[in-house]
Amino acid sequence: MKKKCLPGTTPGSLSIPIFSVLAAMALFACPGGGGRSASKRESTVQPHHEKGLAFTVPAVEKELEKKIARLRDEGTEPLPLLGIMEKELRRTHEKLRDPKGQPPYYVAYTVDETNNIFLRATHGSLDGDSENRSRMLTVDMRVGSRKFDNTRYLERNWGAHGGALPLEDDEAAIRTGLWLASDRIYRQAIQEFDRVKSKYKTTSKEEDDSDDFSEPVKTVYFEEPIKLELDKEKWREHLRIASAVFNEDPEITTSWVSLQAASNTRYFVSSEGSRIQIPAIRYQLTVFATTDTEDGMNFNRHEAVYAGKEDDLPGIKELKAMAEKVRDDLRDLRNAPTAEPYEGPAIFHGKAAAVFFHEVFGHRMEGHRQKLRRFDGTFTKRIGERVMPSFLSIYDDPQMTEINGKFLNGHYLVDDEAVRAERVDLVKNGVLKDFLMSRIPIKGRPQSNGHGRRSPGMMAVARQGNLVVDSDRVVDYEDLRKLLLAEVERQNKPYGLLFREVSGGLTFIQRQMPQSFMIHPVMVYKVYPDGRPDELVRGVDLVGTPLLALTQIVAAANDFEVFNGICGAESGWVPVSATAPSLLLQQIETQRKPVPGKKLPILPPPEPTGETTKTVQRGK
Amino acid sequence: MVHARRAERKILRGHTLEPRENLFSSMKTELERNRKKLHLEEEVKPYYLAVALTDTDSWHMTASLGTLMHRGDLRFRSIQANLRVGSYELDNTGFHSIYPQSQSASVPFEYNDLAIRRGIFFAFDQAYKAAIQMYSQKNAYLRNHPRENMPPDWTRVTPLSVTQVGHSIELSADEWLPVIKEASAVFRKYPAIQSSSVSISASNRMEYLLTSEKQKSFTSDGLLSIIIAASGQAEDGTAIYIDWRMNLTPDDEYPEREKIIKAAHETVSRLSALLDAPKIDENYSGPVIFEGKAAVDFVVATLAPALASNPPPVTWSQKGVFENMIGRMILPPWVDIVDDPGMKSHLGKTLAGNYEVDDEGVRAERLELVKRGRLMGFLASRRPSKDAMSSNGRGRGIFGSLNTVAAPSNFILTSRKKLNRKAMKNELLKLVRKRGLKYGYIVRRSQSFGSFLNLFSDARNLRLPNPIEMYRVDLKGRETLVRGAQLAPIPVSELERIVAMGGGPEVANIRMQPGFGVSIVTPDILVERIEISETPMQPQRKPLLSSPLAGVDSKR
Repeated sequence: MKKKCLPGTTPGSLSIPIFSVLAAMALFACPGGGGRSASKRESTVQPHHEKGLAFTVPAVEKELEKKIARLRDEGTEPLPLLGIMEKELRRTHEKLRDPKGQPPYYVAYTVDETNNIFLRATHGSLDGDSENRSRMLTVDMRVGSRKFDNTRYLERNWGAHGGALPLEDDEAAIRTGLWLASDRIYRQAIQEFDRVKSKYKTTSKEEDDSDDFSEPVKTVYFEEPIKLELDKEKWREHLRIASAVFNEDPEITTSWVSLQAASNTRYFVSSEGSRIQIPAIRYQLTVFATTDTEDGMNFNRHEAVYAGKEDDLPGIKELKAMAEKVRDDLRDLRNAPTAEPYEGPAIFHGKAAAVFFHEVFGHRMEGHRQKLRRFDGTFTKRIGERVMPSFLSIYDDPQMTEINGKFLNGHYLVDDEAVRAERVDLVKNGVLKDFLMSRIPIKGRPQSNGHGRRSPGMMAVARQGNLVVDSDRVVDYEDLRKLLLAEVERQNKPYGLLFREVSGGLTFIQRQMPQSFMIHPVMVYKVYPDGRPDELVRGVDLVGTPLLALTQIVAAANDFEVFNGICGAESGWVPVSATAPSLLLQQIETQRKPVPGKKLPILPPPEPTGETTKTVQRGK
Repeated sequence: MVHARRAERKILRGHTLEPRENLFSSMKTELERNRKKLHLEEEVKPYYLAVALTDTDSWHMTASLGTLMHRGDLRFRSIQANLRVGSYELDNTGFHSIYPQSQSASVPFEYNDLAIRRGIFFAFDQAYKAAIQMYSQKNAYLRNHPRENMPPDWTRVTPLSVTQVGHSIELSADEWLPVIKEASAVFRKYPAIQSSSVSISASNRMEYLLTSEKQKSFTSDGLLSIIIAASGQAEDGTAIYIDWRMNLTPDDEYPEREKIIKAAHETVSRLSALLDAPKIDENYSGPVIFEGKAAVDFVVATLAPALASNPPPVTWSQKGVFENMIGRMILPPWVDIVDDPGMKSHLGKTLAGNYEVDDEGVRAERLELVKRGRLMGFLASRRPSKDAMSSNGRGRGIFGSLNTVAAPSNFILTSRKKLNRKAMKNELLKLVRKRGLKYGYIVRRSQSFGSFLNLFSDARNLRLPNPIEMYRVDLKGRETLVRGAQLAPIPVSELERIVAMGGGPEVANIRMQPGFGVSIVTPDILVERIEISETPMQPQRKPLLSSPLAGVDSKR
């Protein structure tokens, strides 16, 4: 299985992915709680042995508890939909019985009610303007027992898709949708249960024979839905202005600037007594453009900003600057020389380092991957062992909404299996401590730590939320460059590499594939020891293997950056973030990117005229 | 009450429309630049370039059990460009695919001269590169597989420019919402019907077409579709789905609320009858009547595509159904078929296939296709075949005006033998007795190709749509609804042995999209021998729990 992560919506597509968006509540990370201003550090080529930035969130638990208590005290009632779901759930759980099969021992319904607004502009005019509402049902149905059930080999990820439900709270209509989906999914579950039983009997035992489902969880949490509001007229105009920036470069082949605003209210009821009504809202502003080169390469650049409030989105000046940066980067890339495959020292600048950790390390920390022999199991038996330099610590904390004022896309309070999200310390001072857990137990870890996540319709598995790489030995960024050059000289290389922007990456986690990863850098620079300016190069991907790559990290800077994106894996697409400092690696390897080989257009592009971007006067 | 408002569009969902000439001007500038300069050294040049800009504005809603399930809208402006390299005699088309190789691009729906010209520029560039590759592959193939007397690839004509400003669908979704909710609520009383929906969609389209042959056409039109769909499971677990569809242009009379509600009730009755009907339990070979809508589906599956000249690409081995058969008998001597795009209505019903000039700019006239059972000619586009060397104005754009195929307009089948339905049934029973059978069958509704016209029937055996509502008729004329039947394909020669036609005629409009309408007029058709067998389906058990709709008000 290959997992691929993208830092935004699918480029070039008007379609809007379905997000399992959770609310950005007013619960802020506390950068003062042990962290300190990076800018005050002294410049030195010697690594500091002191704490970098520690991100703690002392207020979150209290805030959440307070909120639940208040809602209960005031007798706040959930919306009617939750009551309708409960009625049908009770009937399904108590009465759905196949005379020849087992009854379901666990049933849960999730309804994702989503309102999406999408605006997009290109060349100064709108080409996308839509609003859609939907209610999607997910039905979790387990047959057998917690010890052994129909999900044993995690082979049917789409089994929970329950289809669309009415947008109005009409009991008969909604219960009809729930009834039909439950019957269909139950039928699949009993068939699946027979299949896994026979597979269990006829194949050798997995090394980890843990239960299939953790002990019951009961979470009750209600919060009023959030109304999606957007000043559409203002944003239409902003998108027009920003997208017109690309008119100045005729060599740009595709370009657009888009805004997606999505509100989601998740309604969840389970046969274990959980009842949840939790809203979320999220805004995503994206600038995207592509260009082709004379030698047949194709490059795309995008900049995306995520926010929990409309007011936190960039203003027109910043948005225009984002578009100009994308345009200028593509112009520079077209003129840049191609890079040759390289092995040697390199710096991963903040965002590139964050993606590196998300792909190389984060996915291998997902609990269910430690259980089955088809997964690589690289770190399964290494708890308590040193897996990376001792100055690095890594944790994942979905409760955090921000780091140093930067929005974190992987925030949620309750996961998709009704488990309260917890901070998980994965690595402490280079030593592996824990895994991210859903409700699929593994040897020594019978309980979830609130990382069971999925897209609607999929079966939840452990996924990352907000991954944070912390270093207690940091240097100023300029000193990290000096360390790079020292390493270049020590290894007798003509230059080192600097990876500044990446478009995403992928990693293989099944044993039948090589245990490797690939990061797709866009802005790669040669850094010369003789004082020449950095030279932008193009056409390489970063490749490697996880165990070796992590041991190559020799220093970290104090310039933490956040990479927000949407991550795709077997349980669908989920919003995530990764935060990391710039890192120096002693050895990395690059390979040539595939070249589509498209020839540049035969004719020169059309020239703008004086009336080029006139936009018609809008009517009523 | 819902009323239609019809008017030429000036406003498109809140945005004032740009004057037509501005769009044509942007298109022309880039078309001319490409016509004059798009050429790779030592490569073949384009001899024909065409570009179409289409504005689409649509909305749709679905209701189920009295509640709204989905509501959405879509608006976009797109560009399609295609070109031909080489010459009219031999070009890049018709090699692997019957469709032209168009390239498309999305452009802003707000007027933007630069974006339109850039869209056309990229589309032509890609189209040209693809065309020269295809041209050279086709030439290489023909060197190894030489053809004699190959017709040219594209007919020379002086295309006509047309401006057809049709009305647009100006219905408000808000007005229709209560109607579709009310119609969908009809199903609440029937728990045996497991799922049901009533949906409505309206789509308005404006298309600007410009070609290097100086064709400059503008068309605007709209289409309103209403679909009522329902499904359930018979006692043995077989799933049964039926629907009721209505496709209307802005000039059609829109249905009153009562008609939609009535259609929902009829859908309930039809499905309920099918759920209770016995399953066909035999293999049958004998006479069958295709009646009403089923006769239309029979024609759509057999004669309509067979009489359209759409020569297969050079790499295909198939031949046209009636290739080289002009002047020969293909139907009984009392059958005539004409295709008449000039007819606006027939038996009081507006015809969807009415037009003056086709999408390739060729004027369309009335055409006799079959006279007294003898094949007289084919429906032809500008893509010639040995049987139809010139266009007779049947080049219809099926996915926009640039993707044309030969297709019917108003396709009218008549019988000189006039029989009414009773006489048709008697004819059926005569044949049943003659063959020593216990009963015959009448098909009244089929799983039609829906709104899609099957244009590419090129086999010697013609595939027939499976029946949905089929009646077993015993020797005393008593009818029993049966379900779960499928029909075997029939040999082309069987058409000549059609025993009788009569009843009706049924006048049916088929609309695949705004701008493409076909009408079929046909009487009922009695075929001497059709093979019927049980549909291979895997029944699923019925839901274990009762429907939440089962309550005091429920019926059945």
